[in-house]
Amino acid sequence: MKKALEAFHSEAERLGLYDVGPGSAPKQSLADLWHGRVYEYIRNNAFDAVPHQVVQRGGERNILRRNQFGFSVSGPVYVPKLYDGRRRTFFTFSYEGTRQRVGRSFLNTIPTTQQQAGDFSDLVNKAGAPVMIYDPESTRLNPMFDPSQIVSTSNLEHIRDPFPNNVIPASRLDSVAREMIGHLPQPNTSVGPFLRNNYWVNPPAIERPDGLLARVDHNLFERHKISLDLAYSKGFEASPELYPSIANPGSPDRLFKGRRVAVSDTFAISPSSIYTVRGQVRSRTRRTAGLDGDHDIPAELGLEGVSGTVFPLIELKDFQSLGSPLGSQFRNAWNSYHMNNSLNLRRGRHSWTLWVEVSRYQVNSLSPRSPSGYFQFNDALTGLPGIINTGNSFSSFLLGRSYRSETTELLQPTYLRRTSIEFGLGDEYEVAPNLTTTWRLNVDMSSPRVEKFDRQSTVDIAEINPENGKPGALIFAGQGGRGRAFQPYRIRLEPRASLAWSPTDARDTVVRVTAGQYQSNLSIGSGTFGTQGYSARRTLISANQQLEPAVTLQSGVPPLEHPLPDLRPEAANDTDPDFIPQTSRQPRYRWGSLRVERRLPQGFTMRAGTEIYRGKDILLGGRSVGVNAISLDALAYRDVLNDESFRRTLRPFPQFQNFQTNGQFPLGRYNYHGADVGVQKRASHGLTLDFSYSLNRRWDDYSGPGAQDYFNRDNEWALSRGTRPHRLSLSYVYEVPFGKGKAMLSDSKLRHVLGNWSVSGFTLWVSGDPTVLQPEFNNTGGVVRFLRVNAVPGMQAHVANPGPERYFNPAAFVDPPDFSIGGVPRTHPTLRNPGWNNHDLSLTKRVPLSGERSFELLFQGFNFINHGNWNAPDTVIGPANAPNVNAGKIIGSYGGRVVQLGMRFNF
Amino acid sequence: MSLCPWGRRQFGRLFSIAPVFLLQLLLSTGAASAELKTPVWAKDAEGNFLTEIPRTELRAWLEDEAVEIKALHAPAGNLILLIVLDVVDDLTRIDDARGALVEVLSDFGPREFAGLLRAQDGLQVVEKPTADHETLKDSLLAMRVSGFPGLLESIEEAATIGDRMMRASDVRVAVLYITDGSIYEYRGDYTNPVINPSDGGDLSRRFRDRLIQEQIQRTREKLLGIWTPLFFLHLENRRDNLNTVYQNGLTQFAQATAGEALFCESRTQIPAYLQQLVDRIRSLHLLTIETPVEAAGRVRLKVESATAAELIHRKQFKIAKPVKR
Repeated sequence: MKKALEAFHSEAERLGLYDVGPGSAPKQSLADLWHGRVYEYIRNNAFDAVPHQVVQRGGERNILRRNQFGFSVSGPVYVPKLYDGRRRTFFTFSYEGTRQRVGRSFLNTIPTTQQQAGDFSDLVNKAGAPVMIYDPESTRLNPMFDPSQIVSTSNLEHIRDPFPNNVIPASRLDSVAREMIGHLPQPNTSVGPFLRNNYWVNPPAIERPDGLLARVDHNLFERHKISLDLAYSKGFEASPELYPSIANPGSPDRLFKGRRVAVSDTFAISPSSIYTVRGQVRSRTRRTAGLDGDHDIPAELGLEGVSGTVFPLIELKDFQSLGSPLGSQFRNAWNSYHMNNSLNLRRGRHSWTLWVEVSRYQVNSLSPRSPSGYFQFNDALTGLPGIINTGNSFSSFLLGRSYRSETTELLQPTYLRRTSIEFGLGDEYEVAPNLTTTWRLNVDMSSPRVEKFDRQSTVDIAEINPENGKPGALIFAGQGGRGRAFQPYRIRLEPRASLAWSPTDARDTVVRVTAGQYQSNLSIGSGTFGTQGYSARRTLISANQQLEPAVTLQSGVPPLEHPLPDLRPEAANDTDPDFIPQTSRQPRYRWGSLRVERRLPQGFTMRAGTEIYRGKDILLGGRSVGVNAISLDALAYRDVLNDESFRRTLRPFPQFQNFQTNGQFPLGRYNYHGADVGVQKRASHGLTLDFSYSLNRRWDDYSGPGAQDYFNRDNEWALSRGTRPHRLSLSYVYEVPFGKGKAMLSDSKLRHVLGNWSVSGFTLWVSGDPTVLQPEFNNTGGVVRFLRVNAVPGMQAHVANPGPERYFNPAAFVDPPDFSIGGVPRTHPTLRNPGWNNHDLSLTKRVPLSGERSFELLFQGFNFINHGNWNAPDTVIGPANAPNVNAGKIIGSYGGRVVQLGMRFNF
Repeated sequence: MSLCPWGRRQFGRLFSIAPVFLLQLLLSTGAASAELKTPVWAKDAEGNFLTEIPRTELRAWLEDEAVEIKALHAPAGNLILLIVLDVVDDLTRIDDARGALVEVLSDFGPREFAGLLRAQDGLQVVEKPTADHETLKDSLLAMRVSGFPGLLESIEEAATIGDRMMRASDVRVAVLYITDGSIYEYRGDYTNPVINPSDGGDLSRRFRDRLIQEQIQRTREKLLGIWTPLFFLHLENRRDNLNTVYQNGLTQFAQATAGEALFCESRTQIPAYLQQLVDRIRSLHLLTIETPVEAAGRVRLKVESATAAELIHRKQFKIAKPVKR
């Protein structure tokens, strides 16, 4: 024993384990003190399989050039003769940069070359039947119309003359539209069916981020652990260009920057009490290059009444749009400040935790929704009024006839602010040696959002509108005796309790029961939402979307009647007004779970569990909330609903269109039931395995595509869109048993090549999500925004062997008749989109070098078996007399093997 | 003048460690390679650890060559348990572990020594190995919970101390880590954190566990040359991918040295699992075998017992090449 104790003493002394003060550590070079890595990852399309979606379009490669490089170093802060921070002060510094160009594949439908010249003689519907376009200037009342009968081709209320040979004379083309067409590409493929899916591009997206992470921590007087964390990242992103022109409908180029600073001190007051204080500041900015341009593009196109530096957004039914998407031009900054204090105390059988966090959020945002104007075109203005399957949105565009237009006027950015304080108290109590209980209560108090200069507004549905004397008018923060905010202070109560019980003496099994509630906070938002009056969304809506345009491109957009700031209560009339709900309701989630974990022999662990969630007052956007929706009973008015002035009288707030809620209206519900089982095998014989399977069901009343019946939310209750009931995963790590000291090839020369390899992999199988069936036409006079289809009695939706040619039976569904709603649930209860699976594999060769150094070669294959997952089927159904022939079919698959090579030097 | 007091201190240290270097030199010149000590456990048919195995019933092979058994020290002999605390996280579990350790130490006899070290922010000796278990308990209860996890950085040093004790004596030695560390709390960078959050095409972190695997492989290599059996009690089993890999690494360290690693799913398991590990440590037999002079590099060991239903022993060692004189 004496010899052993002497050996302990001498070795501990040699390693410097007794005296831990500064300068006491044994002499070491910086190479011994500091460790880290230098690395480079390369991806190149030469290593990859050509993606399925590219092969199917006849492409031979999908460009990919990616270099990801960086280094990381960490260790004690040690400057010879100046500062010896070993055992006291440590640092970590990491840098990483990426240079990437990667092709993205897009298959879209654009007007044919003929159509771009005004010749629609090739125009067919989705059933392949010819479609006529009509001259809107020839619109006149039908003297033979019988009002007692429904509108039909034999009983037209208005009649129009077709364009001869389905060709619009060149002289009739709108001059602005003609200018715009010059920026539209020509079709370059013919995937079909008919003339659809005729434009395929595979342009590169570019990313160039650079970032660093740094951390310094210092042990002060043994009891304090002080840390400073820094993070910085900046870069550039260029989205793929769908059109090689200024009319590109893709997202614009973006610049971004992110910064984070955090300071924390952990103070060990005593062996059974710890106090931690942490402060953090985060800042993130993103901006697009478009807002900084100096060209007035609308003016160059001849479009009057609107000016901007980007191409106007032209939305065409059934065709790819022109111009950047809504809200894609912005200059935003998000800042947040957090201060957190927590105290952990152990007293007897209790372990108490107490914490307080104060947070301040800032969003500075300049984000015009449609900076150069947004113009929508439908079929109806060049169709036969009241008759579906006639006319064409592109012919309406060529004539410059937009049924709805919107332009954003903005004087200055918005500066949104919010503060929250969170308190928490919790205790873990040992009831018995094999039973512990835990409870916790979070209380969060959040202020409503305010604008730094009080430039905030909302529609108040109780305020009388001076224009029509009805409820619903714009109100302004800080005006008319109102406070700076529209919403009340909110208190979130989040209790949670759980117990853990080990029923066996061996303690190899643990049963856990947990229940609790949490409430999510409201978003502070960004952009111009809630600033009407200080900004304007000039909305022009056709008096009758079948008969006359809201605006023609040639005549341009009329000037604002009231210059900004426009603080009249009626300033939001005739628009989609911003609505900040003045309710104290907020999302609430309740859940309970039961889990069992059991340790098995041979390093196996088994786990199983089940859980239930209930959600209420989930925040919803305008698609799912119909604050100003028209009752479905109004469908009985049929064609007269196309008269905008009549339709508006049916709205609860006739002075407004649809309310914008910015996804912040607390109304949704959801239920979730899930169960899972898993087995894990800890490392033995070089193999580690983890297998898990989960089964879940989720229902809600909001998950898309949008509500058909706003007045009866139970009718919206259906399986959640995107919910995938079955999920099976397998991950594994295997150290190949070749090489020195391994079971095989221990002494062979081959060990230099075949030794020190390890294989890791991850495989995932996921079943498909519910199918969402959609009608091709929506002839409900604008009453129903998201129409569903009807089921055909006696027809089976499922087919025997689902495949790309026939994934489901489209004959089982049909568009609902005019002015009626569909009966199939929002998401189909049994039809599922194709599932998908993915298999990733990593091979690593480790070459040990001297000391702590090693070199690693990494060969990583993502989707290494080059499996193609099917695209979702075409779910647009069509009417019985002109069904979409493509419905139920799948066009192609996607995905392909991607190989990444990596080199890493560890030191 | 400028050399003092540093110069004196360094000289003093040099003198104090010179014998150790000389001893190491001797050990590496072939004297040490002539024998090898390894822990062995024998179980009866019911799975209980045997407290006595007749030496004559054991046979050993090194690289399939039969080797002579020079000594076998039974559980009744001297034991030194080095307890390394690497606790930084949940006070509740840490207190449970401390309480359980106090209970366990109360059972220790006069020939069962225990030392206390802490691994946070570098390995430090808190209490040298002693049979005065009351002092040890006091030190244990007074230890503060602070710093960053240090298991991965300290394990080689802790195992080396045990190794030196085993080489210098016939005392049975084991190292027991009590840890609650998460791989995310380490000061060193093992988690490969995202540096550019906007880099949507980053696939280099799809197999984020590679950095941990590398560290585990490197450490495991080194442990092959160290004789000490390692035991781990992790107070909180974590299920996320990186911690799973990290915890698997602890299992591999234990397997490589014939030790054991247990991971607590809940607080209630802490006392039971600690007792289970300590029971196993206390029933350790120390087997000394003669190694052929030419045995060097990685060697496979096989031990068999004529009577024991199951024999647990270490399967592989790395023996330093003898220095040619």
